[in-house]
Amino acid sequence: MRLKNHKSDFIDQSEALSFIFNNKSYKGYKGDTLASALIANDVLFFARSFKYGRKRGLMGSGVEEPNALVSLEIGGRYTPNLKATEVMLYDGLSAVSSSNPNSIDFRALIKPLHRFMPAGFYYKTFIKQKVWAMVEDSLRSLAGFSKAPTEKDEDVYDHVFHHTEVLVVGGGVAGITAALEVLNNSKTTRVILVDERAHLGGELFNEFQSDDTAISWHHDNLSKLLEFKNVANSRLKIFSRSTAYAWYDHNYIEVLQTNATGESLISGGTQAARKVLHKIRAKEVILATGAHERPMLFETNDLANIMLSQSVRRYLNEFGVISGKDVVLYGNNDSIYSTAIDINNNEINCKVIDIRPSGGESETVLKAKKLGIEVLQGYAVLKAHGTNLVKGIEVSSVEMQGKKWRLTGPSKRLNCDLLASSGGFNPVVHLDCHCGAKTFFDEDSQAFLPQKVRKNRQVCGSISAIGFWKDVVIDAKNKAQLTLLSLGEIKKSTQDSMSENYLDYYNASQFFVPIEILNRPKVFIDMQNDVTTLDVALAIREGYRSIEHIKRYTAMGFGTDQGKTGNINGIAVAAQFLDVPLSEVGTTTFRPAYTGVDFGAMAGREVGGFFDPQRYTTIHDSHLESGAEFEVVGQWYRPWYYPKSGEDIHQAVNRECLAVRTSLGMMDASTLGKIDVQGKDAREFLSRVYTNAWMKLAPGSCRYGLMCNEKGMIIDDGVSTCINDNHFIMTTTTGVLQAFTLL
Amino acid sequence: MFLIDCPYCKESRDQNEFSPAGEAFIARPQNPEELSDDEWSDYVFYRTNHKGDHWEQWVHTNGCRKYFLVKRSTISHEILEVAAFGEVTSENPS
Repeated sequence: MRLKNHKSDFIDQSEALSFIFNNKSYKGYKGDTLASALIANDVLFFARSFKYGRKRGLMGSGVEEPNALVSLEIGGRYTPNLKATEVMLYDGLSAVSSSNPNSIDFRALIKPLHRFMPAGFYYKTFIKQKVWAMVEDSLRSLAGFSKAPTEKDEDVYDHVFHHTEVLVVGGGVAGITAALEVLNNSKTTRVILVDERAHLGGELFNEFQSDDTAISWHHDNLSKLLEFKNVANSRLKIFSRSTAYAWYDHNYIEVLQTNATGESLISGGTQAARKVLHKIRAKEVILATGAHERPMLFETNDLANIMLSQSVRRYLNEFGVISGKDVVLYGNNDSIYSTAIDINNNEINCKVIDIRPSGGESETVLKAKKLGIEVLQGYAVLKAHGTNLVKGIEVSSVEMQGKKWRLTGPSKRLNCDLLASSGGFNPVVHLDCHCGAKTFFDEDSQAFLPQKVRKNRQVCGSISAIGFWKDVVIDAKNKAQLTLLSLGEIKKSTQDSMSENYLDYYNASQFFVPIEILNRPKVFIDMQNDVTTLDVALAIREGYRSIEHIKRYTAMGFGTDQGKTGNINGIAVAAQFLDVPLSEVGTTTFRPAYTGVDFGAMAGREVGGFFDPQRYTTIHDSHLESGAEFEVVGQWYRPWYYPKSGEDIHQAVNRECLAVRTSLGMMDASTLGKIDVQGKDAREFLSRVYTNAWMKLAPGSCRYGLMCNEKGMIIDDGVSTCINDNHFIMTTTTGVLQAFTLL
Repeated sequence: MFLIDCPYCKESRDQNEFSPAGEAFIARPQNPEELSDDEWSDYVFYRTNHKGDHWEQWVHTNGCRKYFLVKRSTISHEILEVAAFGEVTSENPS
């Protein structure tokens, strides 16, 4: 539902947009994402899961979303597997679920059998028994997400190249500060700032809604950035709705920008690109990519309306929508209290369940208590009740005994219609690791952080587990100073110190993975691939120890979300079952691409007639008149055969061969490579490049020759003609010509 | 995607313009006819596959078309040095 009297800078309530989702029409506003508009319309089910066909709702609010996959538009505009959280609403938008949650689904009908279908089920049942070929087609048609497109893409896509001194990835507090610091301290340095959202500011607006200084900082610094941008020959480029998805060697970064509104712009006969692929070469890179929240684990944690705490807060503050009236916040850090305060301020009923025992509370916790929000400390959620939608939860008191969490009390039931959880934060280190950089596990922040020092790269903000915005500003300034120093723009860098407790903001307590909960069924780690804690346990029982093997056995972290919410939890679960510290398990390898990239965007304008150059000989028209069929050799259109009425290729070729044998044939050799060899050692030269003899070839004669390289491999053949002792004309094959002339 | 400084063009250009041409300082035997098969295959096929800083040959295919030498870390892919032939040799690889 949408809150009445909610004010947001991001939603324009004066402009209503109508759209269609799963064949029903709805209304939203300008500034909504498809996800927020559907929450406003009380739509709770977005798609079905991959393996078990379970009905799923939203979990996240952005790139991390694992469940809400949709395909957009139809025909030549069809785009599969987009995240509803990333599709900006426009008038007339039409989308369908990747797998319809409202129709009857075979996978869901066999629900009682799901417990017999753990990881490895299909391999053991069908492939190992050698019956896969018989069942593959029918099984594949049951599973999967959106259908692949079948029609020619009507849209165009562009490639743009950029060279810059500094690339800042991420437009939150850290990114804005770093970009401004570089621009302010140099007169020539060029800066590119990219951010995946439609507005700069990241989570600032959502997290610090009640902090007036944060909100005014946001406005001030955005206008400072725009001052730099809105001048002639600006040194600053800002790309919003742009995701840096790959970092290749020597600071070459690819960024995919989606057209501001998400739809294609066709106006006045010119067609603007639907997406633009920016290819950026930067001297220095500043990563301010932030962090993704990870969910808490409990039984049937995949029911609709079980979401991430920060996402609930973002939907509330940015879009003015919420999907429940009786909310429970559950987690191990203070961010759930901030969400609770914002929910409470909107006069919606909420409770907080914190696994941490009482005592030593932070200001945020005390503030929440003072507002009268009901808080259960030292409690954990064991199970969510409900068929497809969460209706209530089972909670029990917990306690840390030794180094393990133990359940200490009898469980009791609480009712709720929306559960938002936070199990801490995963720094977005993906991009940093694409070129081989490593992560390390930091005990203080309970997170895998990017390696501290790397050439021509700085990290700032919550990617380094710095959460409070004022500390982030200081950190980003420091890192921008180091960047300027590396560029030689300044002689000495100024480094200010952050507040003493800069790591305390999230105060993430230990990973909460007690074995009593992990051993329950349907504790989902990876929602998109239906991987549960028991699947990880099974992988370990089967003998897999490396997290890379466990990942491949269970399919954890595959799929379009690449395990952004699930992977680190999966690592913690594996560590718990293996009984080793998290740092010893390590992470899986981060590879490009960070998010899905359209094939159309990769191809750019090089499609159709621009895919490959077409080369024609001077007598091409004559070949056409003679009815030639062509074959393409080294981009040349060479006549293949000349069929006469009703002839197939074999009949035509036989007739042509016979004509050559009995009368005359003519071949157009103009596409062959021609090399003029002149000089007194011309014969010797040919003898050395060809394998056969050339010393006795008479002037006016020609001979076929074979070329080998030193490894003894044939690299080319052709006919060479002797004009006189010092002059030969050599031909090379059409296809190899280019390779020869280029080398 | 490397950025390579061509020692002839004196410009830093994208890897797209270049082609790799194998390990550097492999001398062609003066007397191929006298070599055994093992010795010849050693020249033709066997390479050190060095982990670390490595001298190799590149050719500026879509530029000046000249061959030159590149010292590259095979771990980080960082290019540490480029040189024309003769500027560094197997005896003096710097």
